[in-house]
Amino acid sequence: MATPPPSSPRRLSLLQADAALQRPQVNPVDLRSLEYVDPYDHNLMCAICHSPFVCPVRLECDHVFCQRCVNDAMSYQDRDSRVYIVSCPSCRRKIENRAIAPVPKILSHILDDLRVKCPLEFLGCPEVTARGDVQDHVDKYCAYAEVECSSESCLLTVLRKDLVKGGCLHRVVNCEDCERSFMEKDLEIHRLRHCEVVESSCPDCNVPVLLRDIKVHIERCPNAILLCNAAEYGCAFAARRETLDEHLNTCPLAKLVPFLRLQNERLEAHEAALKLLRHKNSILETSFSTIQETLSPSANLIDAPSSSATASDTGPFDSTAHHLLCLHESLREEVSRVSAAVSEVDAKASMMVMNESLRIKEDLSHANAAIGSMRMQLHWLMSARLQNQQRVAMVRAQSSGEGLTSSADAGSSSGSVELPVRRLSDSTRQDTKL
Amino acid sequence: MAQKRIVKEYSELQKNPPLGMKISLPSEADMHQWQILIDGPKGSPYEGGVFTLQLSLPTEYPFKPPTLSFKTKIYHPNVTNDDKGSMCLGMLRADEWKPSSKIDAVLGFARRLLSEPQPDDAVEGGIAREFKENKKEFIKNAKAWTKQYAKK
Repeated sequence: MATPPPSSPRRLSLLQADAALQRPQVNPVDLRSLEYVDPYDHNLMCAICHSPFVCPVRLECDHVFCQRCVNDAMSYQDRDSRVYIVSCPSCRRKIENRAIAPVPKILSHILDDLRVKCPLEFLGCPEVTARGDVQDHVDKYCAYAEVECSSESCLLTVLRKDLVKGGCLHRVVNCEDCERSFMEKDLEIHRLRHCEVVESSCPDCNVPVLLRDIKVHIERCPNAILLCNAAEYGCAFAARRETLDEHLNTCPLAKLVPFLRLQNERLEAHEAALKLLRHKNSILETSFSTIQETLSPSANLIDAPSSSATASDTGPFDSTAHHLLCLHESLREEVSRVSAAVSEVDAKASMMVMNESLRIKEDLSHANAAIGSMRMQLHWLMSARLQNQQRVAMVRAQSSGEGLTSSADAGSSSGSVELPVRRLSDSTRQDTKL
Repeated sequence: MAQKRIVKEYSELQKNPPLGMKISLPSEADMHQWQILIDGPKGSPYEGGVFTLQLSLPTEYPFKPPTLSFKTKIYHPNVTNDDKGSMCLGMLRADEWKPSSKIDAVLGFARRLLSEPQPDDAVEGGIAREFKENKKEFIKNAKAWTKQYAKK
């Protein structure tokens, strides 16, 4: 960075001078009387002044108003009531704390972005700007804003666009033609629009016309040479205004003009649509090529052995990607078929297992029953044997007490004793069980 | 500020006038006095009549409520039967008024009051009693007044 020459003023004073130059007078723009270009959301409208919020603030009840509107509302309420209580202008809730809260920045940004016309539009400024910039525009750039005259001795103002003409524009000068006196800044407008003497001549009929009327005259001049309406479609006829009407009645091209114009419009619409489609297509193509690139390593592997064969004709597939996609599709079909078969087999197997287990369960219960009956029989046999032994023991004791009896007798007697104990009912019960 | 808001509301109402109403300024220089022509609502005894109302906006508007008065005589429990023709509208009372209320709402309310008088909130006790106890008589009288004073 170049250091300033020693004679240059200090930076700060430069800045100040600059600021003074750029803000000749602080003339705040009334944001409420601006004309908004687009319709704005009604939620952005202050309920009191019915304009989009200017310096919005938030009350305790979360209602938002312009700062000035709230101040006005509070001062009116204060004037009416002797107690120091105010309420929200929207919901009438008591406001305890008069300190008003700021609103979220996003609201201010939205408000600053609203498009407005320059407040000096009535002077001719065509500017449309964001509301947040309109003050800047008027203060610094607007060609129709009033600024101090460049002459130091003059205290009057000129429009900024006239400043470049240099010198004081407030000197009184005379119009060359009508000899009325004007300030220099107003002379141009006077001569163009108001002067009743300045003359010019019509380029077609050479009749002298007042400069201020020339626009109107040219539109009506009977001698003006006009082109046929169908000039752009190839009719070369050109004539004075009077004879043109006759020509228009006979010119076939002139009659086609509405149709041709319609066609042209349609053509343009189609071209625009085509352009859009082309653009879309190119986007799709680039995305497709990126897909292809990501796929290309695997595609190369597959194509490597047959690359020499497919080099001349690409076979049934347009490209490797297509081929891969087909392959992928068929594999997917295969997989789904296999999974269907697997599930079928699974169902079959589980059915079989169930049938088998049912059968086995039945068998098991049969076996259980058989074992039960066997146990009963065994029990019965054991008890019979026990009884028999007891009886034999008793008989032995008696015989040893009375006298000696042979052991063979005892054996035969035990067999004879056993028979009567057996009951018929037992045998029938076994039959039913089995 | 009052002026700007009034101009705004006026132009909005000119663009989308409420049903059955015509709004105009008796004097272009005074935005605070509006003249409103209301057609008698269908199905009410005022049907067929045109009523002239005056809406006065105070200089403190919107912090003070506007006042609404009938210039055409009307047989209605909520409108005084004198040359003032003041209308009793709840939302126009000083303690009920909110700066955020719009004239559009006031006018809508006035029209509704024509269709449905509110005898419990009346300023003309006699008419209110008649409205409650002898509706036929009320309708007859209201129709007669409409014919006499509010002809198109």
